[in-house]
Amino acid sequence: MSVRKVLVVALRELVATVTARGFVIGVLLMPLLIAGVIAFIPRLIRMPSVSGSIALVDRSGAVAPHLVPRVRDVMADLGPISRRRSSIADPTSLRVDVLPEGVDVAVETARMVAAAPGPDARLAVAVIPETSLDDGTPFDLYTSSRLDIVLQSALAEQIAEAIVDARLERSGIDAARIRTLVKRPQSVTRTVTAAGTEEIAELTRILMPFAFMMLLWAVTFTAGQLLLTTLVEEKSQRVMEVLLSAVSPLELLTGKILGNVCVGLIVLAVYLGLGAGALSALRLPHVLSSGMALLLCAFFVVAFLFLAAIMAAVGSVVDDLRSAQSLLSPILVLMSTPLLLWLPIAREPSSTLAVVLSFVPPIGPFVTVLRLASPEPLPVWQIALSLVVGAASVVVAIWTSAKVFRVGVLLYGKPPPLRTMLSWLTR
Amino acid sequence: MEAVVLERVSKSFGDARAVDALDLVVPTGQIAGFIGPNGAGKTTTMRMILSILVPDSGALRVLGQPRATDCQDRIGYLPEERGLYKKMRVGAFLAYMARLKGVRDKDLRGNIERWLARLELEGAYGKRCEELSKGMQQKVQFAAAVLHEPDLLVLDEPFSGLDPVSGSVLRELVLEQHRAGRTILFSTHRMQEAQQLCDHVFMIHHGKKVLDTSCAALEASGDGRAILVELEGDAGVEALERLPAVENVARAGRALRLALREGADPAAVIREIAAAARVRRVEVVRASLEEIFLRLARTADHPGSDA
Repeated sequence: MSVRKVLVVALRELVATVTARGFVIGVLLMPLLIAGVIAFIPRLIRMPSVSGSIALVDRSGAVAPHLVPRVRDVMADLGPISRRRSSIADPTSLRVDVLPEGVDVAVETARMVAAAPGPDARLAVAVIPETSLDDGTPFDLYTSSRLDIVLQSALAEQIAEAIVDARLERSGIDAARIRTLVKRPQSVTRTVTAAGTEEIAELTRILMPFAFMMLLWAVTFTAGQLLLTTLVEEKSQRVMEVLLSAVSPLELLTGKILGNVCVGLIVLAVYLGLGAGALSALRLPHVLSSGMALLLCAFFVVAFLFLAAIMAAVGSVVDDLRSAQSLLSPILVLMSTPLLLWLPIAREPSSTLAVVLSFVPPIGPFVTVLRLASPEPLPVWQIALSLVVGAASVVVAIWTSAKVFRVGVLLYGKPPPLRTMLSWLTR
Repeated sequence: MEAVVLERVSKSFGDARAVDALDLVVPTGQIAGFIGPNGAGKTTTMRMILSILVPDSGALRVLGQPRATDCQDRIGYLPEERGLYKKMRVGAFLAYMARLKGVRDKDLRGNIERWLARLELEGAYGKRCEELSKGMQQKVQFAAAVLHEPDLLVLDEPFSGLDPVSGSVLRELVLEQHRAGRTILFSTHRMQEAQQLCDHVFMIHHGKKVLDTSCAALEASGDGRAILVELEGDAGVEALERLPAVENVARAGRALRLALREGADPAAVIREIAAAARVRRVEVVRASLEEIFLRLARTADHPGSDA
């Protein structure tokens, strides 16, 4: 086998695939676009920054002292994203103007519209009814259109809390003490494994392995689909014969697979980069270590080579993608098994089922990655054995595929029956 | 030295015998025509020569090697199935094929553009293959077959589908390759093309060789002669058809072309013609390759019916 020819085929495969419009848009631009949308849309939809005062008409006569400190802290309970989206860059600049009880509310609310934007602008008028401390009569909150929905709702929440504080005070109860007593404590879950104790949320513990396995699965199938597409195109465009006059079927097959391994690694690198960015933003950078990324690449190569061998064999005997899909259905169902079993495996990564499936080709790489991403450390021998078994299955798959490829690649028309294809293996 | 040697090579597809115990020798530097009707086994034989297909039995040597894969870079091939990457640009496609054939020429682009110009495809370098007409695509494939200056050129139906001008350009380029010392094996089902270009012809029918001779020997042999007869008036045609040495009579413009049976003596037949009809002109002509082929094909299909 000529390494030079294999590399020429691989290079063309790589260049032709990554410069195709469909690949650039679908595989590279789309995730970048989604990341961009997630990062920039909140900034784009943020309301223009405002400042000003909240006018309070306190007819109960007891709420104002409680509301003034709460308004300064109006954003305290909001999450970071809601805080970023708010139109108030600095909530401590908000002022509460307590108005006399007898003011005309209609006149005061009209001032919100009339006032020019600036520190003296009126952003809201809150009217607390006289009976609100007794029977829970609703209070009125009039807001300026310049005040965003996040701040409106935070303000309403703080006013309600201030009314509760006033009620408690009137009853002679220490509001701060009550709030401390009724506050529900949060749990901190720590998973104890042979490697030590790790503090990790249950959601992360289950979802992260699934995310890694899905990434491996999606990239493997994306690259496999690209290989199949180019192969079917070469057959349907009748390029195959001219290629086979220049390279042997094995050189062509190897070059095409190698080119698509590189394509897959590029896609994997893009998604891993985005994933690392997202994990960093979520303060979970430890979930994706460089060792994990390397193992993910290694298992991708094993998983992809197996699938590529199957895709090449199938692609060599069909003229169109529809026929290919029907021939591929059984293997796709088999390779989708880890998607169905992810929950029991992620929950019990050391169970007999999980360990055994790690060594069953072609799903072994997916199951092992699922287990690798779980907090429980995987014995090194199991990782190594999974790779060795995967590599052995790849050798068998490529040998088989080359036999089918050699004969099938020049066939046109109806795909041959399975029995005929099996007979090619003995040639 | 022989460029191509086939010894009792056979190939079957299922129950169908595509090539049956075929012996073939193409000496180096020769231009050989491989003729036969559609489905005769020409393409299968060529694919076996190129190691695209593996023979079921028999031995094969190409440029001194047991397999073409051992000397692929010294062979140029124009397949019958014209195929190009539709979206690929012509220049990139030709560069790809040249690199696969081991060309490391720094001036590869210049070389490609020179070939495109010779094929009257100036300006095609940057075009996508799908933008070219079928004939132009065929020329691009020819360029892909010769860019690496092969020792052996295998052309499967190289002139089919070309307009007369393009056909003439390509014919001249094939002859130029021949003059440069390259061995050329080309298939055709158009006998006239083989007659115009070849040193040697092989004829196969149903996978079996039915003729293997040099064109010079074919012309020198008495076998296969025909007589052109121009009659005074229309009378006498039936009499000519009844002559025992005449195989068939066909119109050839204003004249009649009488194909002679194997072993017939033209001088004796001319005397019989003069006795049977009023003749304005009689001329001994050589039978065309097409006539020879038809006769051989009939003999192969119905052994004992002729000859």
